[in-house]
Amino acid sequence: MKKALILALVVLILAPAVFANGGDEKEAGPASVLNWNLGSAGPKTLDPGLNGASDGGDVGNNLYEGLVREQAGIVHPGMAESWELSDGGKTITFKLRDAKWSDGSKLTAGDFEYSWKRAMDPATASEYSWIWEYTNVVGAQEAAEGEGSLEDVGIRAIDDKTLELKLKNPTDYFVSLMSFYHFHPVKKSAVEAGPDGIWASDPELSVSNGPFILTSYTIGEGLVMEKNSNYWNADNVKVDVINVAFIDVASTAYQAYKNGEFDFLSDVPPAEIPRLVAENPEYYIFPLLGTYYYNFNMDLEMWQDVRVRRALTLGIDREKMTEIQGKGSIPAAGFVPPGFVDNKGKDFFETAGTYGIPTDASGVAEAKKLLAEAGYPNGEGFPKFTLMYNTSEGHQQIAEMVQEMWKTNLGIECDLENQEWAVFQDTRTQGDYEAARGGWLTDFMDPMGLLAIFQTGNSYNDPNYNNAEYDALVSKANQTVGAEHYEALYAAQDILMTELPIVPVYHYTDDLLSSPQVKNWSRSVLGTLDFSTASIER
Amino acid sequence: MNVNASQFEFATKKESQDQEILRKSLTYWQDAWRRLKNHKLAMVGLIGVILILLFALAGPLFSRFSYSDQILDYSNVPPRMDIYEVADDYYVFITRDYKLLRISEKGEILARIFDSDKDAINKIYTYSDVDEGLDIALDFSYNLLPGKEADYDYTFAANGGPEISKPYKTVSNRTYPFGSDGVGRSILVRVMYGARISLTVAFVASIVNLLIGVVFGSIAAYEGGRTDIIMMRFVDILNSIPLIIYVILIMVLVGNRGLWTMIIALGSVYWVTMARLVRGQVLSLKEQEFVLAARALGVNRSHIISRHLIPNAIGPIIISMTMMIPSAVFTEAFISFIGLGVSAPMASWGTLANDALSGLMSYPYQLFSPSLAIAITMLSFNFLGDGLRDALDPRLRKG
Amino acid sequence: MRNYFLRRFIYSLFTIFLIATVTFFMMHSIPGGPFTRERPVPPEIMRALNAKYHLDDPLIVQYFDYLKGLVTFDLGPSFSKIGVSVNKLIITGFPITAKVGLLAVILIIVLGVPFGIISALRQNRPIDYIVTFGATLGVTIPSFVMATLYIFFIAGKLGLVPTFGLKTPGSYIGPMIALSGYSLSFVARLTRSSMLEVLRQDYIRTARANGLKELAVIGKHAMKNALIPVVTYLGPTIAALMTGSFVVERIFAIPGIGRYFVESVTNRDYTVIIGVTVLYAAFYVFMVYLVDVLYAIIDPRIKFEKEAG
Repeated sequence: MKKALILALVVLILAPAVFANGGDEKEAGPASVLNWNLGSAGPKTLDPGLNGASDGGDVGNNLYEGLVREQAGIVHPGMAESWELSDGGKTITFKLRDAKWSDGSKLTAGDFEYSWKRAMDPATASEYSWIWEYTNVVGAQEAAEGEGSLEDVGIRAIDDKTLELKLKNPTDYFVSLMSFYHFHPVKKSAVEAGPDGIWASDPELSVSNGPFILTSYTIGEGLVMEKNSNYWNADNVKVDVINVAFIDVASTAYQAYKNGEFDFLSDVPPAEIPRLVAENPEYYIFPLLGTYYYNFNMDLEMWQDVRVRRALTLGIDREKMTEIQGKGSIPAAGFVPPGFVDNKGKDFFETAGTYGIPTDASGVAEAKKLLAEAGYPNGEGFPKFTLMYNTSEGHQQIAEMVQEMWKTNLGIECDLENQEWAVFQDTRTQGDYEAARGGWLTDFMDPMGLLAIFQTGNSYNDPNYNNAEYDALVSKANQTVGAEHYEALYAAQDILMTELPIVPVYHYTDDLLSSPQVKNWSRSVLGTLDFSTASIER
Repeated sequence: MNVNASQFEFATKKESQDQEILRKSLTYWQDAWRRLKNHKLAMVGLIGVILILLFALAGPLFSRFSYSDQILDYSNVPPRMDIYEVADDYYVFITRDYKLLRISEKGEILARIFDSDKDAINKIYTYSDVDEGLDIALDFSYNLLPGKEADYDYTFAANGGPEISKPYKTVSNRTYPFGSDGVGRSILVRVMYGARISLTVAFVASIVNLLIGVVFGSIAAYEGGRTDIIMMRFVDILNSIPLIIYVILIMVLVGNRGLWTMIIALGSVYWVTMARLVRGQVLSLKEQEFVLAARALGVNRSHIISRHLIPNAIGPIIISMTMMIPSAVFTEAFISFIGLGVSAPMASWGTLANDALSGLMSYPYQLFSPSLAIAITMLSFNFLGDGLRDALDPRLRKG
Repeated sequence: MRNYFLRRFIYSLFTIFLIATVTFFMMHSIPGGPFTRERPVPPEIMRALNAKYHLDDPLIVQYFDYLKGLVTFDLGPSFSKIGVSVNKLIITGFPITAKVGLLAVILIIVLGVPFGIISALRQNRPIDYIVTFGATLGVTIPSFVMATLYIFFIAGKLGLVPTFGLKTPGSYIGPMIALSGYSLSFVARLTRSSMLEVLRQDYIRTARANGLKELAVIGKHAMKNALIPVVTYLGPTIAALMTGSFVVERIFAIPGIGRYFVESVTNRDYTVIIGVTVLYAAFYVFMVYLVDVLYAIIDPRIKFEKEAG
């Protein structure tokens, strides 16, 4: 009797799974399906105005479209057919194309004005509204910080097809920034249909304007996007269905990829990377606009001697470290990563040079000399300090290598300590550390986005670096364009790399796996995925 | 029958003593030890425990590496290597992340040979040993061919010579007997040092279980009524508060003071299962006749608990003490991952196993060594535990 | 006795309330908040966010707001899934978690107890050693290793089941094994040990001497008394399994609630922390209560009340 009961129970539990499976198979078989693992446990929100994370951005970039669409650094017209600059670059007028929302209604310039003012409104409480400071749109920063009125913001829909923007200063990167997911438009009636952006992840309520529409969403499991027939460029969208899974364990997702359950993987297990690089042409590495570094707490007596800071900077072999890490990261000898083009069309990273910081161990001799001059021959007499990082296997590995190199190369000893992210952030902003890991990624195509964080008083100036000349140069760069802008930035990085309040370690990279059956997918310079032009050949 | 006094005589003092001491009286613990000694498996377990302790304490003295010494060029080298003879008396090994190492015939790593050219499209890497004037071409395209036909994965060719596809032989890694990890540290040495942490944790966890769990549970059950309810609700609360919040709170309040803070964190929450088990046993035992008898004789409470109840509950106590050791070892790894306890590069067995997991597909041996260490320890403790249970159970006491 | 269990019930409710309270104040006293992200949010925007979610109210006000919600079963909005209520997270995730958990529990009972009995009846014979050895491995190999190995070999190398999710009936096997491994071994060992003890007792010898069939001796007399430690252990274990495991659900990508237990803390998703903690606590407290009731059934001699005098 009991056995029968248990058996019945098992059958009962398993039955829905069996039927669910049967149901799925019937639906399968549309022409072109892409299976993609997002690499996170699911986006926090899909509402473009509220979203501040790249997983939501990757999905959003396929559901929505901004004024422009950027693919691999090239800006294509999106919702805007054309745009022109006037008033010395301080006014930008976008001409919108005939575009529709996925519900068939017309998309207007007013929709953009609504979306953006909503996004910057403190009442919306968007985590990303700080970005309005860097758009240089008149009154936007003030409005976002609750000090100005939305009325005074320089965004105006002149008519249904014309959107006019007033900027404080001419801003070279403005148009390409408009492709970023924070600037995607939302439809007012849809937004008001559900609170707190829930409309965006509800297939019933979601209205979008991009190549795909949301047709299914399961918390913690995945979502489904299907081709949007109302998209202006729908004829060129070749993928019919995108199944997105939310798996945040890289090894599980990788195994599923190897089994053919995925065509596209945004997250690859780090230990497999060196092999993938050699063996698998499906593995891609992209530079990311960011830098991994260590902060010195400049308020402490122990870091006052620049020779010590330079010695520690020279005392590590960045090439070996990036080789072990395997992700193709670029050893950093400056703060600005490759990928920014200056007014002369040259790469900022190349032009800036290495400030005498070799990428391998050849700087150790100089480092030892500097330490001796500073009164610590072979590291003797230098106090033992603590190097902090936030909890992660990757950060731990880098810290372990740095610790060992400082010990063997320079005779300087440190302890390692890790803290959970929220605790670590607290520790860093309060300056309650000796040396701590830092990392910075920028969201717009200008070195300003990186160098500005070391200005006095900046919330992200963790070393508490304080240099009036540096501050002046960054401020100057903020107000200028072209040659003046870049000269100020080069000069600023010169100061930063002479004073070295930080030890730059490497420039970030991004990686992914894509089956050869998926063609023509693309990615923005900032790392957002784009399947609007992709196709699948089975 | 006629009996009179003349037929009897007084026994001498010696005679009467001889009668009394037929067998030396043994205390509870002496008797337990005697029985433990006769338990073969328990002895195997005891020897195992002693060997592990020796391994942890004395092992590092015989190694030239410390737990933190890195040789980045020798990272991810397995314990067994297929070496190829590419030139006379010149043996090489290719790691799974495509580093070429020169190996002696006996299995010592001599040097890394750096690559001079990487042809990723044709899958041919060239490595150059400038001193020996050797250019070694590695062709690993075979491994990747669809429907692979060759029975080898790759070939070597030195200075344009013939392709070598057969390994010369398989040697054991003399430099790193258990292999090396992702930054070129000896796994053997790290397992030895890790043993110190993990065994300390296992020891502390067992002591905490005994001192707090057993005492707490037996008092609650014996006292019963409101005392029992309140004591066990305290256990419920302790058990339900998320461990991770608790650990972060300790970290923020006291900071990380190494192993000790970790032990405090672990020890203060770890004994709840034991307390519940002992309570359950004592609840049932305390109604049995022998306890009633002891009570009727006026034996005091603590004596009843320590001499009558706990020894009779020794089975579940020892089982859960030994069975909970691995969970303590892995909880330690979790707590130190959050940031409390020993800091990197020092690592416990749990941490070593945890770190090895992400590379399981390519470097399974990195998981194997710490796991094996934990398994051997557990088997030893289990055998010893079984023996102890038999030895300490008063119902099995003879004489 | 009935009075006792009524009183216990009230204490249990009070325990849940205490757990919620302690957790509430503990989680608010650790650094960070729900808006701590990779890129720190500027102070002005942080203020706006805190105002929106009433995190700028005095803690005690938040506490009473929260209690109000708890009593009305409204656990509030999640911070890490904007716009989704904790109620909805639990309603969607819990059935999945509970289903996998229940299967694991069945596996533990169906395999763990018989293995323990067989092992005890054949003490120091090969089968006993095999069970002991297996149980040792079972507790030694942690669930994360078991799960990863399972995916690597069974799903990957052999391709017998899908790698992730619960798409087919076969998908349940991996999570079941990984979830139950430790407890199954524990139960087998506990059963063996208490069985051995019971078998040595006089009344079993008497029963055997009276010519009762071995099966009846084991089933009717020995089993019942050997069950106490097993039931003690199983109660809370069931509560833990039915509310899921962070590790197992993550590795197998199961959309349950197990992952929220750790994830919510790292995200400082306050409402979810309390939500899942209270859910687990309620389950747990109930199971502990049930264990005490079972004690009274298994061994009628057990008294919970303190004797007079």
